[in-house]
Amino acid sequence: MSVSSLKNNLWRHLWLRSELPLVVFIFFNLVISAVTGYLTPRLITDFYQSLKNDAAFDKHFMWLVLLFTVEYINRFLFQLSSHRYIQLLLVDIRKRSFSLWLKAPFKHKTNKKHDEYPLGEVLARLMNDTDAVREVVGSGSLGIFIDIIFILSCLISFLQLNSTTGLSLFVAEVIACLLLLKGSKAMAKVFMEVRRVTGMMARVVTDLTSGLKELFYSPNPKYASKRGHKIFEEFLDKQLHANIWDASYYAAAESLYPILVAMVMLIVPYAKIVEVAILAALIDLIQKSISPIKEVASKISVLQRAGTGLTRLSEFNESFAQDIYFKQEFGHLTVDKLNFSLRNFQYDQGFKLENVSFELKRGEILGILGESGCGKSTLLKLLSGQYHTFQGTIDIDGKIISPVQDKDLRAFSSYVSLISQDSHVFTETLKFNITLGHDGGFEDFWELAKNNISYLSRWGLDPMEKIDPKSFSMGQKQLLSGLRALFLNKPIILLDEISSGLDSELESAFRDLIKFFQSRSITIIVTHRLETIIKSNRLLLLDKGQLLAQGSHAELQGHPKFNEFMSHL
Amino acid sequence: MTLRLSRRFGPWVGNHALEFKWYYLGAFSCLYILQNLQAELPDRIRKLTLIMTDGNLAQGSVWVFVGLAAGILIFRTFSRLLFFYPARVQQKTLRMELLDLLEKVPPDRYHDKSQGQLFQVLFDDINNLRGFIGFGLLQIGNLLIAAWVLIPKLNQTDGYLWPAFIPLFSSVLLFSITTIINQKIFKKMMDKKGEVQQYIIEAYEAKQTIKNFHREENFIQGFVKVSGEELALFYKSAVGFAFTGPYVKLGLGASLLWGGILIKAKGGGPSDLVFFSGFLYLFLEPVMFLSWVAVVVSQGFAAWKRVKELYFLLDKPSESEKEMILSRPIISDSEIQIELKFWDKVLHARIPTHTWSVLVGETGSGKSFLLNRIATTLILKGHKISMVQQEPYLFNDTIGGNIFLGREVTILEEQAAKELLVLFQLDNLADNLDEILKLEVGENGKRLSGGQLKRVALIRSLMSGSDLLIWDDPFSSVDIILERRIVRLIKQNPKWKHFTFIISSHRLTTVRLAEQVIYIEREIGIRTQAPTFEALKEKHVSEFFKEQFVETPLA
Repeated sequence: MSVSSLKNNLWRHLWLRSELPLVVFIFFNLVISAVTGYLTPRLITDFYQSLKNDAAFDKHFMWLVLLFTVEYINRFLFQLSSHRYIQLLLVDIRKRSFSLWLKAPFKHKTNKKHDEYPLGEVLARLMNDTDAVREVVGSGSLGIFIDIIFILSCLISFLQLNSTTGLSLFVAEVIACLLLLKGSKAMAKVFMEVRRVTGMMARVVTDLTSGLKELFYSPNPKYASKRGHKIFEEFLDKQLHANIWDASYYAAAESLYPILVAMVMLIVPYAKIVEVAILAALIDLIQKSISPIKEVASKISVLQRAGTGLTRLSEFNESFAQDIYFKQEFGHLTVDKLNFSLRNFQYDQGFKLENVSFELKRGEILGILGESGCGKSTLLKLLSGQYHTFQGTIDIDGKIISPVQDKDLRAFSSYVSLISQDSHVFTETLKFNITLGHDGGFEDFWELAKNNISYLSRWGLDPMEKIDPKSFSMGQKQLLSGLRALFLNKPIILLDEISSGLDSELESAFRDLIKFFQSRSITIIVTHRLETIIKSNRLLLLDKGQLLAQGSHAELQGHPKFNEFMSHL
Repeated sequence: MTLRLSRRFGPWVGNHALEFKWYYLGAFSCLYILQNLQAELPDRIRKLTLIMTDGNLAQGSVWVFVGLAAGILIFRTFSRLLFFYPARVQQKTLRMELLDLLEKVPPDRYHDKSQGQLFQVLFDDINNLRGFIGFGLLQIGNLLIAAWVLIPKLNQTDGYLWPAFIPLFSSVLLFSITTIINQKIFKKMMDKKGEVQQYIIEAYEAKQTIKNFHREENFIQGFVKVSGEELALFYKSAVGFAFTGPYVKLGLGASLLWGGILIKAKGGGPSDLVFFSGFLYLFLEPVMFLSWVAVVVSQGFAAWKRVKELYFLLDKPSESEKEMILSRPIISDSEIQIELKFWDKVLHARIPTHTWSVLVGETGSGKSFLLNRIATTLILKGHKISMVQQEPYLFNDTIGGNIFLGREVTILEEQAAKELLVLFQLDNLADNLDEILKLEVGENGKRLSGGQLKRVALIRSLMSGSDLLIWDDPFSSVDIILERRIVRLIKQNPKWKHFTFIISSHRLTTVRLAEQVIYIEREIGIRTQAPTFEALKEKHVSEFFKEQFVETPLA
């Protein structure tokens, strides 16, 4: 993506069309502050001059009172309106980024470690980068415009008060501002470094506190302290480094005032200032302009960071925007016949799955058998429409789906529910966990499920109560996943490895569940359970990515590999 | 050496001050000199404006101002550095002390604390303590010294100007009040922010599930809601400051005008006004931080209380720990004798060594509880054992790092670990075994599946150097073929065949691989303890496995 298109995007991100009146209002605030900023130095000089003049004093006093009041009200309104704008802007940006990210399909890489946006990255984009924008407001950095106008009008006033002194001050203040800007940029870098290490430390501390129990029960030479010590040491180092910059930056800004006064002293003999009031006003204005200079210098880096944040956000969005979202079909889909035929599928490098095909009707069960690493999980992933890079066809009731067509494949995926023990359990109510927020018809469903799966009544979970995912066993997690699929009522059900680690009660729950699926769907099960193997209408025996044999339990009896497999059970 | 954490608040602060006395002495001296240098400015400028317009300028006084600038630069920088350094070092030391302690004590002691709470103490609270002794002390010192130096200076010649400070001070007071009130909104906002992050984390972990069940829209709505709530609080927190922030500027202006009136009434001129204006600025900085001092001190003290609370928990044996140690466990060559409190009874267990014992019982009968207690008792009594929890934890480290936990490893050990990786079928994680050992697994082994994670933990246990291994439901996510291969090879390998294994399981296949079955019930304790083939003949045991015996096919 070119830089210019990113820039364009940046503006698109900053611009909320619906909030035009607010933008106009903020602009109006800035105009007013330009006017007050322009008037301040003049009126202050007038005030200094009128100290010896009774008639003028009252007038200038009143002018200043008016000016200060207008300035106050204007700043107050500016703060409010700019905050509101940023709030609305962030709501919008976050929503857009989150939904693009969630809707985007997984990149079809073979290994999770290649995930382009791992969790830390998603969090950083959605939270830290929007925080950078928010900081613009928090630090009052939008006031930078007001400050710049104020400094400029001070400089102009210097020129009008006395040209020689004014010009020198003009040059000196611009140089000071540039120097401070350089300093603040370097400082921003150091602070970014501190932030980075702080983030790392947070991660290490989270990691160590999560695993404390493990360390007590596994003999080890002070693993936590060693890792902790390393990161704490680095953190200390970066912080001290940042402190040196921080302390000297502000000290330098403070020392600017006496330096500029010394400069004025050197110039005055040539500048022919004879009036005390003018000199006093000049020096007072120097003092008043120092703080805005300091602010401008330090806040420019905040603005830059916000800019970077927005750029990163739009980059994040761009990378998903290409995956045009396909609207999933809802409602009650049915499939009477599924015909799956795979010629070849291979991961980036390595594992290959070849020549697997089968045909299934509604109400039938297909059992997939094989030792670990035979390709069972890969086959399930292909069947759930997760990879589109395989050669072969899927045929639903005579409708051919070409797996190469992303859109077709995603349409296919809305026919399928995949049930696995890696399924996520939310810290929410059981009802939410089953419906995933789409809760029409839940009560009827729950009654039906309880009647058919007796384990649910014995389990004694109230569907409206919050559940603790940690208290769920692997088997219960998988049962929950099964209930989700049941609620969705999909015509094709995929079940992964349900035989592992179940106690007898859960075993019977799964038997009920499968019976339920069988009554209305095509069911495909990866299994080691003898009972399921016997009940399946058709079995696939896989070995090292090859289909060794297929047929019913009876038909496979003579096959040596099948017998070997069965002997283990 | 006494732990810093073990002290009470007063002695802790005192000890800290003593430990870093030269730093603090230097810091306060720097502040004192700094304030004096700064206080020179207004009066010198007043005189200057009078002299200069008369046309006679002493060249020397230019150098005085340059000197003042240099002084301010140096002393201001050093006053800050000298205040911050001890606080930073103290922060590191406290973190180390706490982490050391956490690592050493049995998990029972901090059982009631969630991982999030531990994180909060170790990360945020100690940060706040640092803020308190670093930033807090600096600003209190600055304020006191500023008052000490500036007030007499102004009183000397221009005491009549005091009333003109009223607008400035009152605006700062108002600002401070807003800051303190805002703390509450701010805290709410941070909590909400935590919720938003939690939402993203959960959505991330659940993305595959959400997609499997086609519920993207519902989760986008959920996100917009919680994110909107946080941003609404963000706006709310800004309203107070929008009102009082610019008010300080207004106070500054009003004070200047008031000063103008007073000076005029006294017959003074512009030189006096610029002098007064200089003083306004000198007072502004220390009082502006007054609000933060209040916040930092109250936060720091609350943080200290939470740190201490955790320390007290860690420092003393917990109730369950006391009741756990009924008698000293005896490990002989043939068996382990151990006496434990199990539910409301005392349970005597004699577990044979150098063999596999499997603990069996209904869900909820207390298998994990019993294994945990056996492990804890043995560790507390100084025996070297290794236990793998039902859901073990893998650190955000490499697979090798997780297996050896920071131990120096010999080539032989590394070789053994590699053999285990092959045996546990983890050899397909990367192209070769060396790479697998170097593979980063992510926090809590996120990049591995649940089953792979557990297998790494089992390898860790086998490589831990202890010969008594307690495994809670070790093969729950390993298929039965692999399970059998693993157990067989461990039993054959000279390195491990003499080890003692105490495991638990639901699965008949696993039970058949063990030499001895211990069947427990909640009411009775150990109901049956017998060699496997005998135990399986017992009616209640076979009843328990009924569902898992081969059934006749249904029609």
